[in-house]
Amino acid sequence: MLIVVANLFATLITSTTMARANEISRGLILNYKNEPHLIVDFQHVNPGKGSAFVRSRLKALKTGKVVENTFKSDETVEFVEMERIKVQYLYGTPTEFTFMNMKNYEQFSVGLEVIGDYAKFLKEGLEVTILVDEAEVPITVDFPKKVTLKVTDAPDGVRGDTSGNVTKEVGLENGLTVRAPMFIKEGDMLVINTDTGEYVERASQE
Amino acid sequence: MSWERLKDPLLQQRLKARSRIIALVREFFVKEGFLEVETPVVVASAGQEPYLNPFKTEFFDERGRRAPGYLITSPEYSHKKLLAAGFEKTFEITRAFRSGEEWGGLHNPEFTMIEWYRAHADYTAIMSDVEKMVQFVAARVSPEQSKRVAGSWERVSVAEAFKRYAEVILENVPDEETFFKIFLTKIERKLGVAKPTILYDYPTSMASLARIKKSDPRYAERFEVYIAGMELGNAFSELNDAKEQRTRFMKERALRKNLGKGQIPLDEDFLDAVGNMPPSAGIAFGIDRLVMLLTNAKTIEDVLAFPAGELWGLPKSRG
Repeated sequence: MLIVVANLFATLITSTTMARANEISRGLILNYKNEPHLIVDFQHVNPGKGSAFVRSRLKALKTGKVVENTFKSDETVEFVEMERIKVQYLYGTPTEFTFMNMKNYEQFSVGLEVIGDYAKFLKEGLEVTILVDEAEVPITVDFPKKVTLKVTDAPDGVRGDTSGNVTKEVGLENGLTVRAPMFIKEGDMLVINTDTGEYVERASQE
Repeated sequence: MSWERLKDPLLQQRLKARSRIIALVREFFVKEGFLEVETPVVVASAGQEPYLNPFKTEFFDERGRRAPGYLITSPEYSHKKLLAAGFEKTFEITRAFRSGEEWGGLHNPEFTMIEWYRAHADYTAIMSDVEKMVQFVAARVSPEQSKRVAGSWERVSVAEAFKRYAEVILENVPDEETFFKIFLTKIERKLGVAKPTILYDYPTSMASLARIKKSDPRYAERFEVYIAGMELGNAFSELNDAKEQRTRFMKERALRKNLGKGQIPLDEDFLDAVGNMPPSAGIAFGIDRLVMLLTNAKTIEDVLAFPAGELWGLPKSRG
């Protein structure tokens, strides 16, 4: 079992590629103000018939600090290549999270500095991507934008108006609570936005 | 990509609300004495805006003679011809088409817009129209959103917004790129939060088709409507000086060329109409976004039966 002491960031020798800002995608790393940042969210905007911009939310890998920046669509940005490992969440404590590398089935643990606020969305079997540096040290997680969680506690709502605006608080399988529409009941699978923690929709039965 | 997406009860609820909303919008303008008109969706000359990308098309007549055409990015040109001909209060709920923008979020390549115009009026009359219309519709559709749009809306000049939210003096902003970077990062999301915001008087360089302010030529009589950080409408005291309009068109054509974009034929009839228009004001207002606001939808796809992504199955651009 490989236990990793994270946060050995030292000298990071990485390869970079130049590209245009409108090629930004969630989960990629780019150099912003000379520091590697994870692209947490982005939106293409065309303000008032003006030229195209990309609004982005970036998380500094070293400090975890989130900043907002707006790029011009055709502005050059520098993407940083980092090794990405597909893993599956097994179990964890509030401060230590154990995953299985899906290529070689090795298990390893990382701390909160890698998982951050996404910890509350973890559930057994969830597949995420861990980004590691040249020394194979996990730096950060590329968490899916949406996760599907089962409702374990859904109180019967008061019959209110049917305008779709009325919500109630429901409990999910991993302990998370979220506000959901009145018609949600125990056993339903809900899609949750991991940036906002909000209910998106009921998962389609597949 | 599947018709089964339409089975979602929440989507169905929103589509029903959408239908009620559009009927109420129409009712408002008819009641206010506006004439509903229909103008072409396929035109010979699309707008010259350097950053808009119209859909290009082609058709042929009964003898096989071909003509190139464009889908409108806005019905504005036709409405100004109507104004020049003496139509004093017109409105139209129509589709507009813009390529090269995001699919989802706040954009769909095909979207629904309402435009309305008043002869012998300026943009302040339109400000009052928007307030009343949104309040009229919201009151009959959503008690929750009705509270949010009630009362007198906030009116902030662009210069004031830059000072208040970005601590920047607007006159010191060197170019449009810097303007938008500051605006999009620091200002836009703060607009229209507690109550709707009317953001007025844009720098002259961003006048678009608006008239320059006589009392202060640094600014153009243009405003945008923001509710909950989302832009819902763009309005002008309309430019009715044909020479100035032609000069602006030439600048836009040059910029289009520099950007490597194709040249779009100039609508000479439009230029002639502009010179014959009375002083007027008008607005382009997004119906899909109004529906989003009034049904608590997070993305435009939530208020469309068939968003572009469902038809073309391209990977959604938003993660």
